[in-house]
Amino acid sequence: MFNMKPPFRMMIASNLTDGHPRNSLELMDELRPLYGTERQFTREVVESHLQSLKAVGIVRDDEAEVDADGRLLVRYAITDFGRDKLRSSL
Amino acid sequence: MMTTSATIAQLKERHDLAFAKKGLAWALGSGMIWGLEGVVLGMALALAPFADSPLWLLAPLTASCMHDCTAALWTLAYNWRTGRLREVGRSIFSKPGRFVCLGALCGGPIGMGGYLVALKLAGPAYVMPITSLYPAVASVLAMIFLKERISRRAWLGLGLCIAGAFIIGYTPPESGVSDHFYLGLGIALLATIGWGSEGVLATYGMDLIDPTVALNIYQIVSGVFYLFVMLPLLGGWIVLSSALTSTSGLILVGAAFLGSCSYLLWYRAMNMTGVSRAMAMNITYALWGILFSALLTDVEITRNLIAGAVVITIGMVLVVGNPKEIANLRNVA
Repeated sequence: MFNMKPPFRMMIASNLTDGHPRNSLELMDELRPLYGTERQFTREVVESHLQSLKAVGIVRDDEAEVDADGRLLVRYAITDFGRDKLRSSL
Repeated sequence: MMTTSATIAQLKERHDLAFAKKGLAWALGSGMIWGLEGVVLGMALALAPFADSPLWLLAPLTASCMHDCTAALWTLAYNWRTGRLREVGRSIFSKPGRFVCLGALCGGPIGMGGYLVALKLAGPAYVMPITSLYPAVASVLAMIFLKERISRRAWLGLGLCIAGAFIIGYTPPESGVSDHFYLGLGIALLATIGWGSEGVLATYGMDLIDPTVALNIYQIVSGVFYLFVMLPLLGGWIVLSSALTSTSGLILVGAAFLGSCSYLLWYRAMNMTGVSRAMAMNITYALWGILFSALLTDVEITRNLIAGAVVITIGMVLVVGNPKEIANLRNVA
């Protein structure tokens, strides 16, 4: 409605529907043109959304690595349930 | 290479565990703050204009209206501060946002409104046990509609938390029943289903919406419904206008702040630990409420309180169980 952007969490999940797992930093690079000016656009918020999406089964974790700061960087992939959920939520 | 893989696996496990533990801590925090909020709310309701006896129903409904409207403003300020203001607008018109709106109507006017009416018609001795079952209703609904995993131990813990809340809140029945006694029981049941549905509908929406934003939608919808539908129907704007300029109104603003903090933690927790666990931890407000009452007012510590506290504590331990089991909340693939 009113040509609005989708909610941020929904958009994060939507970006994974192409089947390629991504981590929070890669997702932020993709979503920066849309949400980059908002104060909610932080790594902590994106990671919190991804963990919540994982807890409810919309995404699953994939590969992981440790970044230069020693922080865990997990890649997430969409699940079949997540794909169906997104389809029915649009 | 083996060592690196093992370290990453351990880090991932620790990462998931920290998330689950944080959710449980927030759920418990929501119960504690809700208990404190109840005491502050009680202070406001004991003052004019809410304390005037002819306003038995209008007064608490007006207080609920003021509470939800003010809480909506507090959360709006928080969302503005954290850069989520635009998110409120875009979420309210999304499909998941509609489920949150529906949850707001179930929890606010049906849940709280129904509870207040039932209290008047059937009395607390009968209404309290019925309405304290709302976490069980929510857990059954979560299991059916959200496919939430609930172990037998968690069910037992949930049952104990409900029993403990009932023991603490127990009021002996008064002799004689009103003409609308059975109607009151029916409305209490409706309120229980309303509260139970609220958590499930909100959590369904929060799968794809930020919990802070979902909470704000809940408060806005509930507040607007009270303000423009319920109160005009009952003529409650008169009470509202006098409450706005009274000391009780000011106390209510403080209670609404606490209510917002509590709900904020609860909504986030439902999304992190599941509806059933978050509800079980939240219902411990019955325990915290009495403890805060003992600290801030002249309520005495009774045998019922101690028995209820012990039962709730055992229930909490069983619900928390092994936080590692919370990493995946649902039976979905």
